[in-house]
Amino acid sequence: MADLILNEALGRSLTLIQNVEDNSPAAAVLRLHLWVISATDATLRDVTDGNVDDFEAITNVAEASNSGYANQSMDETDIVITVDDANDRVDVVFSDQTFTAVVAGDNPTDMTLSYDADGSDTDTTTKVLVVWDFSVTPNGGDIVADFPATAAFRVNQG
Amino acid sequence: MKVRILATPPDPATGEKQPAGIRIEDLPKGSTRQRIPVQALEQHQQTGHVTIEADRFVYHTVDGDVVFHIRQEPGRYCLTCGERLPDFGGNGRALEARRAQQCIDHVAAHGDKAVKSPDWPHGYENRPSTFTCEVEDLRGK
Repeated sequence: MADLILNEALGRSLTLIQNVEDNSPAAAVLRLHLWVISATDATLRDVTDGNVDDFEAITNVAEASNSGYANQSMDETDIVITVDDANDRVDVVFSDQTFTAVVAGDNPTDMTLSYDADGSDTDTTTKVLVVWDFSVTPNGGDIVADFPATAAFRVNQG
Repeated sequence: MKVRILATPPDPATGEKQPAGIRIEDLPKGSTRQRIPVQALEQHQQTGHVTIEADRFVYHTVDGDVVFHIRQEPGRYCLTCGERLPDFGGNGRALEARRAQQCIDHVAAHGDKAVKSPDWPHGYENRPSTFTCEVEDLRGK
């Protein structure tokens, strides 16, 4: 489950995830980034504009710079949205994503999910939506983001 | 894809609802491929309307069956030749690094023909708990 949702992404996150699931626009993808963060959750929630470059401009926030690291993209084929009328909630599950062969260097603490409307991987236009605690120590092996059975992202009634 | 777990009308006394079947509201539009994470499969199995067979998953929806033919089991695959890359047994960080190096060595053996992508800069993909499937929509047939 997401550890925090940026304030300006509340409620909007599911809409943007659904854009990708709907393949509309066709080029839209979701992206996962790894970060080294010592800023507080309260600071992260309040980021304005909320693009990847705004996020990285926060003091004590830096994207992982390990050799071999690249952010991961997900398209419509990676997303399963379950609208559960029995429990009055919407669960989003993603296929597991892997950062392959990430060499030692930075030790990421967090992972973000972002919406890239044109699939261009441009930091100034890619919107950060949610943050997960994700603490890993790279050693050249693969780093797997295996989302929990309780959903990567859940929207409840109430 | 988008799945709806249908519910019975709320119990007048308790307000509780029970699952009442499953509906697939949306399949991929730009592809016949769908990746099914194990987590989603387990969640949908709880409705009792998904059959898991050796080479496929069948969603018995209220509108008819939707079949997901398994094209790729969870694991590591070379982007160039599609070969499933061998796994060492066991767990552990040192083993994980060794596995990755073996994959890199396999890709390097393809020389200039090695296929890499922005998502998979080392030329192999790794999806340890996701099935890659081809969708066959039998609803209304």
